[in-house]
Amino acid sequence: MPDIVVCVKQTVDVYQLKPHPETLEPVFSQAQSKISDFDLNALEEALRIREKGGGRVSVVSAGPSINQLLIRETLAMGADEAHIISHPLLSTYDGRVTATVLSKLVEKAGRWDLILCGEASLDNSDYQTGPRLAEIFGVPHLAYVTKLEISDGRLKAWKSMEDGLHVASCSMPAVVTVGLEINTPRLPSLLMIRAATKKPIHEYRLSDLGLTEEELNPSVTLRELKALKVERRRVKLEGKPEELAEKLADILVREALAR
Amino acid sequence: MSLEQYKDVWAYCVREGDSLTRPSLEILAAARKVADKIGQKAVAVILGYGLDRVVENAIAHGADAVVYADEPWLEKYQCLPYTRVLCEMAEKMKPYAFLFVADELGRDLSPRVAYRLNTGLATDNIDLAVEDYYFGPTNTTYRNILAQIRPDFATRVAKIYTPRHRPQMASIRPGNFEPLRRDPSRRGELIRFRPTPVEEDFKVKILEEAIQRKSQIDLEGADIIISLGMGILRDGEGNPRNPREAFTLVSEILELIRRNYGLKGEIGATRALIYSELKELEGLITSERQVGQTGRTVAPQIYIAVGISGAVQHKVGMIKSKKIVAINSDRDAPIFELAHYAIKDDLYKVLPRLRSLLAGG
Repeated sequence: MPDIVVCVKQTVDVYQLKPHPETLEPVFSQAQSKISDFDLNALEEALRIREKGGGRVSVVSAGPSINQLLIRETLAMGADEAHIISHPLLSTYDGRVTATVLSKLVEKAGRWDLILCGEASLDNSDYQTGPRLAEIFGVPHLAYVTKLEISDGRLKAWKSMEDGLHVASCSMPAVVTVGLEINTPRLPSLLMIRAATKKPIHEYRLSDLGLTEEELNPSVTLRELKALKVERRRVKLEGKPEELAEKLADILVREALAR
Repeated sequence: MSLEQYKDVWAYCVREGDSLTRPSLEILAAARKVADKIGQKAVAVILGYGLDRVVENAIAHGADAVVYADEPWLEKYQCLPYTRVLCEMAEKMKPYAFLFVADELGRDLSPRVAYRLNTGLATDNIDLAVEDYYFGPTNTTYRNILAQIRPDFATRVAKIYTPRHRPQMASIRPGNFEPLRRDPSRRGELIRFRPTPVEEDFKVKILEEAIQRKSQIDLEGADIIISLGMGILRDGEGNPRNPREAFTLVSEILELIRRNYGLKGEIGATRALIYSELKELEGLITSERQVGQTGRTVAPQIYIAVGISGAVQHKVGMIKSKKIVAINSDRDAPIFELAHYAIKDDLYKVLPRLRSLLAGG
């Protein structure tokens, strides 16, 4: 019965982000926060493993300002407990800082056999947390896993690489990252939501984790943001559908000949 | 050790036959661009077995030097041994920057390398520049720092810097640099490492490789791509439609375009459409067709986005297309920001007529 820690990130729902009509800056005030999609797949996979073989599922999360209600949702899905930290310095682009803080939360969760993460986050898409956590703990990692099996303490993973699926195996402890392909996360029932109110959410300060603000200094900094203006003449094609089709056919011919 | 002692721009290149993969040639061109700006060398870093011709080709494609290890136990990619060897090389030779391709392999490997070298990693960049960087807290200006440029949400680009750590590590999305033309007369330095395997690095056993080979779908090689999004589930009046209808329509249109103009066409799709796993599209819209951040990056002559709203994940994968046409009855869809030609109308009205025009002409 493996004990599993799942790393989840609170992100802005990028599908709700609309650009400001003039500045083209995304308007964050209109978008809600949510748990990053792939992280829910990681949690779902952890819950399925527990259903087969027992064990404990803990959730860890670090960010500038974690909303406990979102963490409560992960408990409603079925996680046993959560360990979280909010700190302004965690609004960072730095994969090193994120992984360092998460590793301290993982230690708070107690002994573990498997860490499951989304392969990337919805907002930054950095693809770093899983492999960096594996480095910190000195264990192997398996990334882009689309199917996972556990038997006799060994993981067997179907990994999606450029040239097709690869099947790899390693013993635990290990880190596994997953995407949307692996499963469909469950929606918690009312009963599960009620049960979740009794589950513990442990919230820490930096000093509780043995960390200083100094250690949260990023090595990578984001300095300049520019609205991405695409320099192009935009042509709006107008008319009845048949006229639009004709104009589109003309464009195809022109571009085909331009080659 | 001072930062100035770190020299040269490294590109971790993946071998393909006697040469390098196209994305590897692209980041070698990116390394060349940065190296020329700071007056240093562009270095291809290659691991594998039987690399004699490969290292020559790396030089011919723009590298001033190749740092490589040619060992039987490095023949196939494995994350842990590769991480160890790359770190040994970087610790010994101290590069200024170290570039990777932002694909599955590069994303698997580069975070581990960055961790061991105790440096930052800026992922998924689309361009690189060299700039001075002023750091307020210590009142220091760092000269000639790599500016790592990446898309940020739907509509911004961010510049990311790693001023105080070396090497400055970055991964580059495929499709953003043009490989340098092969010039067999180029000369360069070959630096061979002879690493020893460490048993504990072989904890992960590869049981099967590249099963379920990717099918014949060749998005990167297509002249024209018509991509489908969730908008194909409804027509302009909001009535549900069988998405199979849209798939058949665009298949036929592409076939007619091929016949009439000799353009190679392919059907793409958004991640949302692929993972909604619609029964009607089973076996037709599969993950190999995915265009976007977690799928393929494409830059065809013509890209037609059909029923696609234009989430950032998708835009990043097609923004470099030469001409973009967007067809969507949602008049406010963000995809229209990118489109050269906007058709704000019902795809189920426009596309059938396009098909008959192409069939008749």
